[in-house]
Parts: sequence; structure tokens; C-alpha cells
Amino acid sequence: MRKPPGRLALALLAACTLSWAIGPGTLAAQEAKTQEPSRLEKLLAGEPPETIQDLKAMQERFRSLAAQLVPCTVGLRVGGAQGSGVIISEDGYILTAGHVSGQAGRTVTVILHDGRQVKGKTLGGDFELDAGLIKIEEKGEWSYAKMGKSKELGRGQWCICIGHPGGYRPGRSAPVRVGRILDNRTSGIRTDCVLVGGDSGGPLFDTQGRIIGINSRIGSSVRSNLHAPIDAFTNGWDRMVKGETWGGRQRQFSGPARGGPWLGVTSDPDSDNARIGKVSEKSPAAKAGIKPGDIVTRFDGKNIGNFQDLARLVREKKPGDEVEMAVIRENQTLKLKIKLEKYEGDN
Amino acid sequence: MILSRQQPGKKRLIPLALLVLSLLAPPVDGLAQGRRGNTPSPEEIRKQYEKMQEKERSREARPYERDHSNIHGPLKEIIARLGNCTVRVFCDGQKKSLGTVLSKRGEVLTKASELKGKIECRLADGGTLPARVVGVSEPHDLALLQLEGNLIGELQPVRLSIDAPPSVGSFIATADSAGGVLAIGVVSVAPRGLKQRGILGISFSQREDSTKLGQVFPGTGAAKAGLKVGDEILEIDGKAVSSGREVAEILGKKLPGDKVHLKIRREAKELEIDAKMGSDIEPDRQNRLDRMNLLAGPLSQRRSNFPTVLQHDTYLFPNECGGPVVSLDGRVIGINIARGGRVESYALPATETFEIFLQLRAGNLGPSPDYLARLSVSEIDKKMASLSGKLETAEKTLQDSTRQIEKLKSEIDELRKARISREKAEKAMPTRRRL
Repeated sequence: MRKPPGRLALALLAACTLSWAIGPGTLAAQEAKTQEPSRLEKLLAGEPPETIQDLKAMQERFRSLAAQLVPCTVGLRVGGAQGSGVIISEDGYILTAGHVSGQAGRTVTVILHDGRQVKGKTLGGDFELDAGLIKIEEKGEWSYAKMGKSKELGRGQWCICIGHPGGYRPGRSAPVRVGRILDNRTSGIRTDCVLVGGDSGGPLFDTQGRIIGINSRIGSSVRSNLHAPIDAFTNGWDRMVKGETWGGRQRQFSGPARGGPWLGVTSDPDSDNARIGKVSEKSPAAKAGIKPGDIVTRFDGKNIGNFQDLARLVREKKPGDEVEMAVIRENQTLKLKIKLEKYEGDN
Repeated sequence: MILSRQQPGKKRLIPLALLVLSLLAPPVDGLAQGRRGNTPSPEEIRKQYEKMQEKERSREARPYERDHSNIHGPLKEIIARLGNCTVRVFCDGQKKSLGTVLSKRGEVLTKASELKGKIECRLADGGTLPARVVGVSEPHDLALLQLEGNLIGELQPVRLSIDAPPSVGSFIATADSAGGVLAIGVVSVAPRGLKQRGILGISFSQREDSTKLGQVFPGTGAAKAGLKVGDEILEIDGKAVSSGREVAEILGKKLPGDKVHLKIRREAKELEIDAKMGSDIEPDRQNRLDRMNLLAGPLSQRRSNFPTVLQHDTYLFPNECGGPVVSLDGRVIGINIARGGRVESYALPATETFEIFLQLRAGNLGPSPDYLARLSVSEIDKKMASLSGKLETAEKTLQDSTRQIEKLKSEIDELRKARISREKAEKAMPTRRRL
């Protein structure tokens, strides 16, 4: 069906207006609902560009989005590692990857786009989908972006991704990458916006500037870049705000089972090592002389890298088993013998 | 170092063969880049990468991918309009880089650090021209080549744009040597200087709250200075440190060649050690971030320490640097100078490139006998006159300095004499009696 010329002109006009509109989504969304999508919207949805003018119209959109969205993207330091995140509200909620935020209650250094550093705390997360939530704990004014929807993203649709590859670098603004949606599943979005270490937790935006995903992981091809779907945040929002963590690695952190082997320690949420947070009174750990702050390096003849390793090895034992452990305390390596007991509490 | 989240045997989030790495950056910067473990030989790696490149460049992208010919389509016209401006540079028969034609006389700019042996340039139609290096700007890693032979007439020079480079988010295309589009990308970061970070060559043991060395990498500044595993760093340049992160923060600001003064504790003794920061050239497969950066292809050997670069996200191989980068309005906005990482390629902006071209052409940077052999008598005379002028100025400065040195020497001499006599006088003075 051919469009009457007047309509086409109107569509082009709309395209021009949108290209420098600041508020993401507003005008464009209305436009898309009320009339046939403009030429630009069709191009951004994946229709092949035919002329340089087409590409220029798309470029105008990317430029204005980049200028508006780089300031919403932050660098994060949690424990010993660095990642990225995106601010989504006036009061400083930050979306990131579940593997960046980890357990709830960890201290976070948030590095804003201008290099200022503010403190934050990790909240909950969905580790199955790699979604994590953080909140800035200081007062201030932040640039923030809006959350979109990931369910209906179509293959070939254009998108923008921002993050801090290699970690935040002074003197470098967060690099902007543009690509397209290659695959969209409830478990994750695959794009050809290239990612690398440090981008974890950075935002993926649609061409209205709405967050549609959070950078998660990569494969070897430049086309294997995975993002956690934004719907994971929308659906799990209330639980995450409360500090609840679930799915994926979380299962391995579950406490001892009733009647199962018991050591009697908890992890230190600010550490990436197997560092002990608390030692339960009268527990096997307390009897063996384990103290908060000790870092477990060996358990039953095996090296321990993080708390997960320790939890896994403890579960493989039986109550009553005697095990040798090594911990680091004040620069000294101590060897301890510990007798696991039966867990009588409820869990 | 955080390990990947993926558990073997567990359901993958998206069924792809190689989705293995979560994207955390390593905890410390500027420290260790180790060399250890069973890494494949350089030859094996090169072959593997060559295969990868061949596959990538011959592969027809899917219609929904960014680099599909659909997207290249409108850009092809623009690049075709530039004509025969890109050549392929071969060294001893190996593809090493692309070159950008700068004049009708057969002058070509390319990436300097890749050049070696017998240099030839190939045109789109397969014609081959011998080339020689006229000059090199080391800081920019740019070399000026002079092509020879009658095929020079087929070359068409580019006009480097004097306008500001396109802003972040703008589309750019890299031309191939056949007058087509090699790949597209967008500007990721506005032009900035790219300093190479200094590397000391240490890493800490698993603990994040101690400064005890877990590793000292052979051949690095740390090893040369005699640092040992188990040494505990107490101070750097007089500043007390108590965690690996603090050490990383201080060392992260150092440049290759910078000296650091360390106070360490070894066993019960405290020692002071001077070490020199080195540079990290070889990406290290044991390092998590480097490994991710190498995942999709090789990186340029020289990929840091540029006075200015524009970062873009075009997927390039190291031997595709040296060619022109074109904006949507057909301007040549720069020359690709390095493949920096999985997400980054660097271009030297056009204005800087042109400046360097003029200096290279004038022989101001690394004049070579080749260059002199090309000059006419009058050009040589002009050059000699200019140099004579510079020589005069330099000699005058030298004379001034010599005079200054004499003056300072005699002043110091006077003071020394005065000191000796004053010292004598003070000694001769009787101790005052208390009254």
C-alpha cells in the first residue's frame, strides 16, 4: 500500500524531531502507537538502510542517546573486583549483574561518570539470570535512565551498550558500542555490541534510551555478547529491594541441612576469598579455634579459592568426620584440625 | 580473581558453545602481567588467528547482524568515491597492514611498528609496487612510505578532513584495499591521549588486605630489582601502604620507565629497594582480562602510548590497521593505528595525521638516505640553509650556556673559599666564658 505524500512528510518530520529529543521514549512511544512507525523507527527496528540519509538519521539518534546515557552509567568496585552499573532512579538505585553485586549487604564504591566516588550497598539479586541490585547510600543528584521491557525485543533491532571495559579509567568516558539484537530469550539477550571484562553490569539500551538488558558474559565470537534481560529486574524487583538473593550460585550458599555436616561459620560478604564473617558459638569451628577474619585456604587436602569451594567440600563430608584445615590469620598460615558435627538447627 | 559463574554440566543460559566468561575486571591494575603456564606457541597462535580472520572476512554476515552488507550498502558508494586510496602493505610476502595514499607522487602512510624486511604495496587490481620507508614518527607509530614504479599513476590520494572528528555514537567505515567496506563501527570515545601504564611485575597472594607478594614475574622490573615472593611492601615513594589495592592505585599511575622507591619487609628485616616500571607489550593468556581481550582475535603489538587516538568499536585485525576511516559524509576522519582489545580499535584523528605527514615528508622525523636521494639540488640548498640557521641558534645557545656555567662555577668557588676561611675563624674563636 502506498502512503500518501503528506503522511510521508509527516513521518520524516517526526523522525527529525525525535533525533534530538532528550526525554527517552516519550514522544517516540506515542508516535509508534498512534500512527504507522516513521521511516527512522523502521530502520531502528532492523529494516535495511537504503541511503546514506537513512544511516545519518540512525546516527543522529545514536549520538543523542550516547550523550544522554553515558552519564547514567557508573563504574563499581565490589570486594576485589570491578564492574559497571546503571542508575535508574532519583534516589540512587543501580542495576548491575548478579555476579558483580553478589551477596546482599556488601560495601560498594560507585564511580560516577565524572570520577566522583560515592558509597553504596548491595541489595538482592537473581543469580540465575545474573541480575543484581545496588543502592547509593549517600545523598546527591544523579543522572538516571529509565527501564524498558525485554520480552518483545525483536531480532535485528538496534541497541546501544555502555560500560567500563577493563574497569573505570580516569580520562576515558565509558565507551559506547552499537549493535543489534541477535537472539532474545527469557534467559538472556544476545547482541553484537561487543563486551569485555569490566563491562559486567553495564546497561544495554533500546533506541529510545530505555534499559533493556544488563551486560553479563561473553563467548569467543564478537557476536557472543550476553545481557541479562531487564524483565528479570522488573519481575524480581520487590524481592531484590528487600535484599533477597536467589537462583544460580545462591543454591550453593544455602546453609547446612538439618542432620547434615556442620562447620558453623558464615562468609564475609565483602570478600571474594573464603573469608570467615561469623563463627557460631559452640560450633565445631569455634571449638577448633577459627576466628572471624580468618581466610580458609585448604580444607581436607584441597585448595580453597572462595567460600563456595568451602561450602561444597563441607557438604561432601559426614557429621563426625575429622578434617584438616589451613587458614591465614595475620600473615600466618595456621593448620587446624576440626571435627564436623551434625546440624541440629532448622533450615 | 573471580572465576566464571558457569558450572560444568549445568544448564546454560543460552545454548551457545562458548559462553564461558563473566565480565568482571581483575581486581588490580598496573601490577602483574605474568608469563607462565602452558601457553600455545606463538606460531600456533598466529595460525589459529589467521584462520579466524579468513573465516571472519569471507563469512557472509546474517541479515540481522550489524556488519551485514545491507548496512554496508549505502557506505560503499561513499568509499568508492574516494577511489584507489588504500593499498595492502606486504613485508617479506606477509600481509602486514593497510596503507593510506596521501599524494599523487606515491606517498603512503601506514603503521610503522609492523614494517620489516622487503616492503611492497599491492593495489586493488593486484598490481605490486616496491616501497621504501621515508620516515617514522615513533610516538604515533606512523611510517611514510614512498612507492615506486609507473603504477603510481593509478593511486588517488585521500583528503584528510580538517573538521572536528565525529562525536561519540557516529557511524564510521574502514575502507579495504579493493575500494569496498572492510567493516563498520561507531565512535566509542572522543579523542584522548593513550598512556601506556607501567608494570612492576608483581601480584599479591589471594589475600586482599595484605601487601605480601604472591608472585614476582621473571624479566620484569620487580625481578630485576630483586623483589621476592613473600616480601611485604610497607611504603611506596615514602607513602605507607597496607593493601594490595592501595599498591595498585599508586603503581597504576606510573608510566613505563618511572622509578619507584619501595620499603619492604623480608623475614624480620626492613629493606629499601629501587625498582623501575616496565611496559607490558605481550598480552598474557594467564591474565583474565587479557584472555578475554584475545578471545575474538589478535591485538596489535603496539597498541598503547599514543598522543591522541579516537576509540571505535569496529572489529579489525592488526594487519587491517593503516587504512583510512571514513564518516557518513564521506570525510576521511583518520587512519586506523591499532587493534587495542576485543571492544576497541584506535584511529589517529585526521588533523594529527596530516601534521605528522607534513613533518615526515619534510624529513623532520627520522630523515633517511632514501629521502635525501629524492631531493633536487635547490631543495637540498633550501634545507641546508634552514639547518644552518638552526645550527647558528644552537651554537649561540651553547655559548650562552658555557658562559653561564663559568659564572656559576666561579660563584661556587667564591663560596667555597669563604666557607673555609669562615670555618677557620669559628674554630679559632675562644669559647665564651660564663660570667
